[in-house]
Amino acid sequence: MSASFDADRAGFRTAAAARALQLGLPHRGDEAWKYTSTAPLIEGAYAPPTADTSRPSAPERHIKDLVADRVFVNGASVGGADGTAVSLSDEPAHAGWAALGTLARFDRIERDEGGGLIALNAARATDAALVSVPAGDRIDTPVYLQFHTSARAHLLVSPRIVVTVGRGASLTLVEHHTGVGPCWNNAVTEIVLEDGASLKLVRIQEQDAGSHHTGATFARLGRDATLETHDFACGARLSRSDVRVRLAGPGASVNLRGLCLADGERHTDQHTVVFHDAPHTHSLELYKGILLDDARGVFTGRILVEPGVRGCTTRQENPNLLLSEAARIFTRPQLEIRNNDVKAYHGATVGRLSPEALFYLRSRGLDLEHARRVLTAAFAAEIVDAVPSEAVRDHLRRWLDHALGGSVAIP
Amino acid sequence: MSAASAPLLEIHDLHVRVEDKPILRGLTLTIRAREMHAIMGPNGAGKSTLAHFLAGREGYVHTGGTVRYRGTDLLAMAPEERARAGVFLAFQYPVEIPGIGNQYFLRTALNAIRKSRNEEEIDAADFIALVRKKAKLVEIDDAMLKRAVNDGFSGGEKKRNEILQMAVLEPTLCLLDETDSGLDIDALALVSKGVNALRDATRAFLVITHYDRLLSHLEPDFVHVLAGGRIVKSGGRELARELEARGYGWLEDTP
Repeated sequence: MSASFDADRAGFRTAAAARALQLGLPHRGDEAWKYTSTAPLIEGAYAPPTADTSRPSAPERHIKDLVADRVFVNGASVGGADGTAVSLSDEPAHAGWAALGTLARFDRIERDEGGGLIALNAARATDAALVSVPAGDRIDTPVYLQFHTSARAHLLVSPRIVVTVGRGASLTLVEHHTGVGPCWNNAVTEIVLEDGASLKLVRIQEQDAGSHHTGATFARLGRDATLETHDFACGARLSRSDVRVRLAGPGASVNLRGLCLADGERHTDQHTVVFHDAPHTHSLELYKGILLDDARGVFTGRILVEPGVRGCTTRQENPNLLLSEAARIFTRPQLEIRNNDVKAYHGATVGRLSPEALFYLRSRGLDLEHARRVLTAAFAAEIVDAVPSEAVRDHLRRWLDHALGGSVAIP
Repeated sequence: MSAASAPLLEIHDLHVRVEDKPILRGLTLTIRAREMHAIMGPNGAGKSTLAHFLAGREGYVHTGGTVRYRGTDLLAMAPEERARAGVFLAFQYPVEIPGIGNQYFLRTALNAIRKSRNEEEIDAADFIALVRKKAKLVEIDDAMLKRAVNDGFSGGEKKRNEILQMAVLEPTLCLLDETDSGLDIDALALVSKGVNALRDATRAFLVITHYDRLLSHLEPDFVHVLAGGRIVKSGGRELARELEARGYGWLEDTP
């Protein structure tokens, strides 16, 4: 690596560190963080990995039957299998920190839209994954990136993914965060979709309940580009995921889907923002929440359409299922539509399992607990079934089965 | 009657309230294996309450009388225990369950019942063969088996699906709650064919209906009129025709 590259890299990190310090972590005075406190992140005194941090070579869990294109343990790439046309971060000619120019482009997004968490990630990220698909290429096999953290001391790990999909190209990407022990994973995923490009992103966070997760996905879509996201908040004590999408080119469209399932005293916050910056752009959103025990859930769906941006459509739904008396969900549709030429719909519901449906299942021989599990799995199925990979769907069904108390064997 | 036909279901002087309103007021009825009983009666007489109460639905207050099923206290059993003991309610309004495949649901229910009897879970291939055979009876195709339970089914499809569940689970006491409502003539014939195929010496039926047309397909052994929360008249098949012709008005003053 050249001296100037190292200097750029050092400069980038120094600037980011200064920005992180200046911005600080978000607090509950910020409207976007009204229901989620970052205090556990500060109190934990999490520190980045050092040379002494042990790095187990194999993660405990990953999705079977999918090629593990790249596995990162405690922030460092530990390799993976080749076999796709996608270049990853240890190919200096195409990727990694050699792609600082790409990162710099996002520097502006960070300054405009990102808070201290994004700057902190930039200051601390070690190995980034760069996935770039050249114009016209179609990558059919999902690219799988696993970020695994295994911590004994309080560890701050900063996964970073940069995705560019060229004109008319398409990609399916699976971003899988796993973690055991007292860690805080602060992930950032940056996505640029050129005109006519298409990306399906599956994001699965299933860290254990002793860890924390904050993750932000930024996407910018060109003309007629399409983005589909599937955001599964399955684990961590404190979990916050942001998906911020700019529909920058006319005709661009996004389909945002998500599921949170939280038990115990877990807190899960899913936050989405869609900017309809160009005319004839479309957004579709379906997030579902399942809350058990004393868990807390938060969903925010912010949609912005500026004056003069015509012919847009937006539809947002957020049904939630509470499975205990103490569980709570805060759901906030925030539609900021500043012109009349927009078709908009939003609906949020908070409910419990239907007594009629429970009785129907019991009258067929299922006991009450079994009936509850089957109906809860049925509620989640709409989100799981739409995931664009059989292997990932199977993984999610197994996870759901386990999370709901086992042996449902979801269809 | 021989000793073999000991009563399957004995309802004696049953009183049931919904909230503060008495619905069943001293209903007595005995059903034996092999028999099919039809219950007719005006709206609000308590017909559906009887069916749901027997299946174990919540929301009913039992204020008097007894219900014995195969000699044991049915009312002490949870809904799933009743199902596992062979009581089946075909719903008037089957519940839609998006997200759960019809065939998967059937297998889950069958296995829950088998497990309660300490039987092994049914082999996947055996199950598919079984369900296809039963489905043919009520003309349910593979596509319908793969769809979510009752989700977006037409009225007729839902009722056929109830009969399919009944055929797969092979209950001993079948309660049919207005299974004919919302069916056209062809669907009615199909549903009736499915029900008739299940009639045998070990099984009994309680059919709740407003109309004689279902009974002309099923030919029940007994017809009862339920009015004001009790059975006010019992007879054979001819009673249904009489009710169809004369309505219920002539029974109002019957003690």
